[in-house]
Amino acid sequence: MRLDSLVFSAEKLDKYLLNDYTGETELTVGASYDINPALVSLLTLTSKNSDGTPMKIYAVYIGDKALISQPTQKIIVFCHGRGPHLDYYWPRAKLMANAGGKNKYGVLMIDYQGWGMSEGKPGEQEMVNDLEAAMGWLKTQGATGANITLYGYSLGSYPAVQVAAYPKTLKPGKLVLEAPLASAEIFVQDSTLLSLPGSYFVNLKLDNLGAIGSVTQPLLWLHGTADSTNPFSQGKVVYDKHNGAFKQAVIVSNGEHTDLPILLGYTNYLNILDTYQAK
Amino acid sequence: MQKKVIDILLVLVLVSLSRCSATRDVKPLEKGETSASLSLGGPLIHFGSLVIPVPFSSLGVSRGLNERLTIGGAFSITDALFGVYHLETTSLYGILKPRRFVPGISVLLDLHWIVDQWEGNFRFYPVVDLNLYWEVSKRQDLFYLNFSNWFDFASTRSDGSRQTYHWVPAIGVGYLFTPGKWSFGPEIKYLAPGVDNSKMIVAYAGIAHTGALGIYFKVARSLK
Repeated sequence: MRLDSLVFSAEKLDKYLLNDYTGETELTVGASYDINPALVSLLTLTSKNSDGTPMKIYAVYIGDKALISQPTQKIIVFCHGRGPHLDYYWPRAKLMANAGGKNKYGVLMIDYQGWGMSEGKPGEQEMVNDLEAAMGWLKTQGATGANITLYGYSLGSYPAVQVAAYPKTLKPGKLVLEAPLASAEIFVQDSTLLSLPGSYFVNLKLDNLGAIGSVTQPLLWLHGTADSTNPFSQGKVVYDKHNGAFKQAVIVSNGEHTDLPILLGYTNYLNILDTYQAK
Repeated sequence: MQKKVIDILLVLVLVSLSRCSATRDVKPLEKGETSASLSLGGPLIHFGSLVIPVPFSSLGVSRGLNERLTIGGAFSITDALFGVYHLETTSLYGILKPRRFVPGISVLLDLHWIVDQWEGNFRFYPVVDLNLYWEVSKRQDLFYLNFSNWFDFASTRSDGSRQTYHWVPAIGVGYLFTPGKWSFGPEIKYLAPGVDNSKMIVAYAGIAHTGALGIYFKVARSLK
């Protein structure tokens, strides 16, 4: 018996509903953040599982695909957390697409293997492969990497850090980590008072701490001081170990794991993201 | 979503903490006496809307070498389900026998040897218990107080930071019914008293946001 599968909270979907989704969502955003339907593209990408078997995964791109090759087009690749699927995070994607102005940013969001309509089973290497597949798609659209920001939220910080540190397809220009975890082992040790190894519970490593030192791109880190899921201290050690030339911390007093954009205020949150692009 | 996250973490944490605190012998066995025991229960956790003890279990065997010294061992069933092999070797020494209202006093050295089958990670934790016990009936039921001390010698954590907790105490109170060769009874423990649990990942059922309460039940049978 292992707890690996419990780390992932993937749920299968037969269809993506996006705006029409009526289930629980991570955030609720107003109509001012709506996206022109012509700018929403549901994509299928080919990833692979840890055995190398091809797997079809789903993604959604917000923005004019014809502009992806333009150096001025800013693109956020949002690596969502352990939440169930794209529909759950759709409001967040809409929000980010409006950073710096109405529908100004391109946002690419993927459902990892096992999430939503994506084939396969969730896994550590699978998440990285899926993000590489997304980067590959952007490359085919003409993106160069410099205008791409990887945004890893919670569990999504793992593939974001891995691809930022060890890119295989495109080297992203910037990295944003919101409420990242440090590693599975530290997660275990934060959960107990003792120095118990992570291997007593999970086979997962999720070793952001081991990879962040290889990230040279600028880093923006957002974390709530009251985060009861990934404690603030975990994000702090990741932030401290980043060796890039620029890093910025946004520490949200009394912020929990899921409410940072709310506590910051959506406008302020988007300003932080947009301002960071100039770094 | 948040609830699911917390529930999962509770499972993780409780399984780990339950490793630390099962019920153990408090009164030395008679010379030549052998006893087998099953210990159930663990720290209390908030699981959804419920507060439940962690479903922990271990099997143990003890033998009295003489009137003062009892040695034994226990194997964690719950840990084995996780591919983690957790063996305890115990040495219980009776310092003072109980007399009317004067409690018996015993000290237990409990060595925990833990290794997993996945990566072979090994941990060793010594535990020292001080027990005060009273015989409260002719059939030698026991009421007891227990002061348990876990020690962690690791100097650093995985992130390179200092391992803060080298000593994790617990306070317990229990009652052991002894109708003949069988004995059984509950024990309540207060784990890590005084340690702020409000900033920990798991919402322990503690006292005033400190520590964690645990409920245990032990069944033993004398095999002499």
